[in-house]
Amino acid sequence: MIEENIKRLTDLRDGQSGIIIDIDMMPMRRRMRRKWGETRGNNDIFLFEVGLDNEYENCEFQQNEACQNLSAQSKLSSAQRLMDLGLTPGTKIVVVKSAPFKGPLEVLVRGARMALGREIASRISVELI
Amino acid sequence: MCESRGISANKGLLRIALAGNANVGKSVLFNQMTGLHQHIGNWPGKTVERAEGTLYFKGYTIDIIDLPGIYSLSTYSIEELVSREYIVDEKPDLVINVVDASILERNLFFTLQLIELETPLIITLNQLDLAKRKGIVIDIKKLEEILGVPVIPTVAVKGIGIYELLNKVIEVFESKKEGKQSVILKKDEGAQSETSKGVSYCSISLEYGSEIEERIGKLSSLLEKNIFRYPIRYIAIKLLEGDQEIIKEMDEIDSKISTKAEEFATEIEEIHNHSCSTVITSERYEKAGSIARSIQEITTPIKPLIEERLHNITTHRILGYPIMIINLLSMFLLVFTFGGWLNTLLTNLFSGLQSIFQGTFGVGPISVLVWSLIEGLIAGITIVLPYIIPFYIILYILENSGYLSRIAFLMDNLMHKIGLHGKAFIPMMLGYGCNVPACLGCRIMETERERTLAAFVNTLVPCAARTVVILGLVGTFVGIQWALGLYIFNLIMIFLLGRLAFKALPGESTALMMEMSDYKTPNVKIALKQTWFRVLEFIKIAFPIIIIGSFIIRLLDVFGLMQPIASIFSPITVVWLGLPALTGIALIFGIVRKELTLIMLATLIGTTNFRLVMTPIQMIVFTIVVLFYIPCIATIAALIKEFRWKKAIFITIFEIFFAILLGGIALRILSLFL
Repeated sequence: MIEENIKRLTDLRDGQSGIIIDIDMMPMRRRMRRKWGETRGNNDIFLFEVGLDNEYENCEFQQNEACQNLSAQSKLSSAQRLMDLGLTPGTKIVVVKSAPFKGPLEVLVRGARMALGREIASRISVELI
Repeated sequence: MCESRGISANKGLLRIALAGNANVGKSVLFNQMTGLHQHIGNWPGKTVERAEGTLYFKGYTIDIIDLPGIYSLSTYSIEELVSREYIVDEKPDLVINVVDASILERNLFFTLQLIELETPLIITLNQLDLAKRKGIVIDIKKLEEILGVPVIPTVAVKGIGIYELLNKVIEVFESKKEGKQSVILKKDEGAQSETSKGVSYCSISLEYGSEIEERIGKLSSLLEKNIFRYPIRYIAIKLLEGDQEIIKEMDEIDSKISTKAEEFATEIEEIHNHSCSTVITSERYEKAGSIARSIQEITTPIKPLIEERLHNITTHRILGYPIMIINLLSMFLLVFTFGGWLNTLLTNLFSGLQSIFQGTFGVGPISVLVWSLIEGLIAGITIVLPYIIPFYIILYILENSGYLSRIAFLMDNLMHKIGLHGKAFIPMMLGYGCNVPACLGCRIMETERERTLAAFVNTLVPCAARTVVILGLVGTFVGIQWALGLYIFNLIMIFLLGRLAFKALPGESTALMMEMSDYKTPNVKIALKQTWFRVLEFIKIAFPIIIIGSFIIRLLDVFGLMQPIASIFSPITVVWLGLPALTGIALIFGIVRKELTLIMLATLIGTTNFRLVMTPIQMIVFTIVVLFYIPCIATIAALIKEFRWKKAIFITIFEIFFAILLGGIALRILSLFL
């Protein structure tokens, strides 16, 4: 992987494609206490499986970060949802167009056409091809 | 089409479910199979549409349920939760997995999960006509061999393949009853399954990478000690994926299992540098992809398909918006011209009724009360139905054709300002005509939270009846610029309240992740059918409420309670809102229909020259209250139907208080200027 070719999905212009590297839900190092004990994540970018309910576990963050439990939780289940729709690491994704006024992106993945909100699209890192 | 001919012997009941991604043609298939033997309602306790039907075929009674679109058994939206629970808990005799032949890879992802779940399965490969036009040719026999599941090609819109499908359903059901067991094959073994009449009923186990299979194996042996309602391998996989529902269940039986699973999951995470669920999802997709590639041959067509070109125009950065506006305006006009026409027709039909009734029964109190029941019924028929019928037809046509998702695409970021996303725009737009279809239309949103938010915002949109008050009172007697100002004020309030509700409602807004499936020619017949059943449901729930509401108001009137009630409210109406006491009564009638506020006021003061009783400020304050206070009873009924009592009542009460508060504040601010 060449560093200059790694971009956010929202950086791609209409018609460009990339290979998905990861879905960047938690850019900072975090520790989350799950239901049954503590688990450490060593990567800067990693994903956890989270259920549908809005009950949330406690989480500890590095200093200077607000503990936004619910928003963290929904971002994680969004990541799982994206993958269920086919956006797994190593998949080719094509940006067809983007809606004006910072609207959603239209993408092509595994033969299916999808609209992705800009917020979530900006969290997908891809390698430009 | 599928009625049995002369076969009187009832061989029994079959329960089947249609499951698959959204937009694959499940509803079309469902409608083709069930004709008019349908029942559409909501899943208990949820705002998800539930469509069930029955058909009679070769002596069997077949109950079919059309499950909401589902992409994966790891649930995300409320629809997927409902579908998954149904398949697991209700254990239908057979699941028909409807697969879109033109998007094979993504559809097979879900199919593989159904196979892991070991549900009795038949696959229908639907939309083969579209696939062919896209240059996709599929080797169906090979797919059957790979998956070990019968595959029936269909083109549901044209009715092709449905008879064969039902035949296969019976075949599989009968062979299952005869005791053919399913055989799990390992990739290396290559063992053949027992077949009868060429019906293969075996499963191929989906092999993940060896490090995962190893841990699945270990978990399976831990699990083997107990009996579960899921297959053991499925549980093991789901535990590794971190599925909360399954983990909860396992914890109740033996918490060591989930601890071990978590341990394994972390090990896999360390090997692959991604979470275990990512790895499993990825590998499953790779499998789906390789299966898809091995069975399909694609020759890209030379000319772009018409669907493609249509899509490009409708989502075009510049052209897309005017096209959308034209479409929405036409839709709006259609609903309201048709509605208005039907309204006039029905009103005229019933107009003589009141005098006939009074002629027969007199004008005594009892007759007035009985009449009020009839009046309520008539009001429901003449006022509400004429608008929701064309609304539903157009909504279903828009939804089935695929245009709805393009509108959501274009409007998404604007709707985000209110905390909703693109899809919410359509019901909101329709709210300007009538709040009832706007609230009912909120079911197109994905989550309960968004539906509630959308419905709440929609009740604030001034419907045609409220427009009557704005224009008829303020527009006529104060000035048209004030009327316009009120519309703008209303929009600002919608924006503010929307954001407030967005922050207040628990949960987070969902990011837009929406499939934009290929355009399809909408089937009007099916839209009509769907409309028919929807309207029927609405009538069953809403009409009793409307009738009773009308009755109660008349009751108060008959007992001469109107004046005393107006006096009770006078601290609010007179003191806080600065309005003449009579308006209290008018506002109460407004609960039934908003136009009644003006009509009753005119009746009470004996003239339509409202200037005689209200100053301009009073008119504005009155209109503000009418704009925001209690939704009309039909809207409340719609809220109850879609969201149940608690939320409906909460929204209603909130709006009453809000309107009163706003009115009083407006009075004081306006008095400073005018």
